[in-house]
Amino acid sequence: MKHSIHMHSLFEKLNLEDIQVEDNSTLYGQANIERIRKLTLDKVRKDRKEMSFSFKRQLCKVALVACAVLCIGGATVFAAANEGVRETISSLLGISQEKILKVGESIKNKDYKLTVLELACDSYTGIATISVEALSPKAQETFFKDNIVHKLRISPVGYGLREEAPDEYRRYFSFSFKVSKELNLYPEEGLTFSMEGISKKITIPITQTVELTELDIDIPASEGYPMSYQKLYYSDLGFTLLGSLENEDVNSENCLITIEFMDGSISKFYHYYRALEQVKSDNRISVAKTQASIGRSERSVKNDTAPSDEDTIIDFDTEWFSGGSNSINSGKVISIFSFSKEMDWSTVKSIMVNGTTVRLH
Amino acid sequence: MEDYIIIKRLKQNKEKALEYLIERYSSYVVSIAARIGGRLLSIQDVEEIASDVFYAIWKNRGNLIETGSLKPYIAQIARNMTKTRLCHKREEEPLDEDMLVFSSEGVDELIIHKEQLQFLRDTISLLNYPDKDILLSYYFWNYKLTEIAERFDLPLSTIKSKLYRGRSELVKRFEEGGYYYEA
Repeated sequence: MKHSIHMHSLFEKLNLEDIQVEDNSTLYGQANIERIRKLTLDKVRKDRKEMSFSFKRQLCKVALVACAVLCIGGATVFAAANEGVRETISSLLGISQEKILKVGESIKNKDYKLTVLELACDSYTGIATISVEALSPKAQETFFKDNIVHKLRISPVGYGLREEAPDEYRRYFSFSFKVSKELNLYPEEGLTFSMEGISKKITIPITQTVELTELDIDIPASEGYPMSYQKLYYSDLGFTLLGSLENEDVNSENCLITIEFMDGSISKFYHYYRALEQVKSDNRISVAKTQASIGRSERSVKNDTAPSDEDTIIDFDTEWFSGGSNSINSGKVISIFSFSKEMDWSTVKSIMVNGTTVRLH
Repeated sequence: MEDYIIIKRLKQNKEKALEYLIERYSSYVVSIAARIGGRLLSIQDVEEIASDVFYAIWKNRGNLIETGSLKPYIAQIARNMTKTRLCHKREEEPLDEDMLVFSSEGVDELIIHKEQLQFLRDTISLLNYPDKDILLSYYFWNYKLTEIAERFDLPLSTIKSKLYRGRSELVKRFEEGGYYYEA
């Protein structure tokens, strides 16, 4: 019997295990693990940024609506970087389930059903997850094209909006919020959730589910940065700075926050600076945030607190920063920032706010 | 940190867990890619493959099963990623000698195919560097002759002669197995 054997066809039948060669190139020892790490994390972070861009416009509009309803005195809501979203707060942030309030309340009309799923709060900042389900064929037809976020009516202000993978005709959202008794940003009835076309609303009493740590700090106002801060509250969810507006002639959004971890790594958590003249000529809501420092604060001599040669600096760490807001009322200031994942504060060595470093350990 | 904890934290979107994974398994992934690709891969290629492997795991973190070891899963992805990187679609004309004609007394097609594959495996296992690598580069990964010459830093004529030698070894093995080569 004759057999015609095509060499390539024969080789194609080999498995990968059959063709392993000796590593004569000594690649094993030459590989740069740091480059592998960087290449991988760059891809991961690029994904996150792309996700956040898609929400940015929606987020600003939500913020505008919420501000109009809620803000007392001056308030600014900042856009946020958003991370991929999972079904529950615990999968989103990594915090344990006992720190999360299960809600499950719903309201609906013929087209949509709004459900508040979960909530976690440290009494200043919190996170809530909700779902919106399209009920009618008409609503289902355009459900994924519709800007559902525009239909939501949420109070207090939401920021750091994220959307996770939908089920069939059910979309899931999470967002951060802030409350403050000091600045009358504390609705006695609680958090309210509703939706365009639904007359009822869901009201959830504000419940502290996450432990909060309080520290006295001394962050003075400095050139380019108009706030002084005297209190820091921090939790797994985020941190809050309480203080005063010292200089009304300086852009009230300017803030520089850097976190130094015990392992020596540095997070440029939130760096924002914009010259006031530029702010006045810009009608958009600006992006900003902060994080603060504590305890035995020590003044560090820093020339970079007020950038002199640049009109605008907007930089934040997407690994940690989820969103934040800054409110002013009768000279009092509250700056609240939320994390994109649970912060283990025992790993934080110090925080620098507007040029002042506060060591935590 | 145990692998099941890493998986759990990956599912919680914790980047640190991914960094742990990279730290723990980079060398393993590099060794797999290097053993499959050998000289066909540069150090940069291998690092990029490793990065693709970890990124694929991150993208698929929601579906990971919390098992004791990620090693088999990582090995599988590493092999696939390396194969994807190495696979070429041949555009040049095949060599004249690429068709081998034998005659034998065997009649069972299934047994014959199995037998032929084993002959090939035996032949490959006897070859050393760079002959084995060159043979695989040409017939398995479909690299062009000029590319192989460049990768192995050898003249084109040397590559051709090594391919010829590889084919001769294969013919020899077939003949030992009861086949008659019809040149």
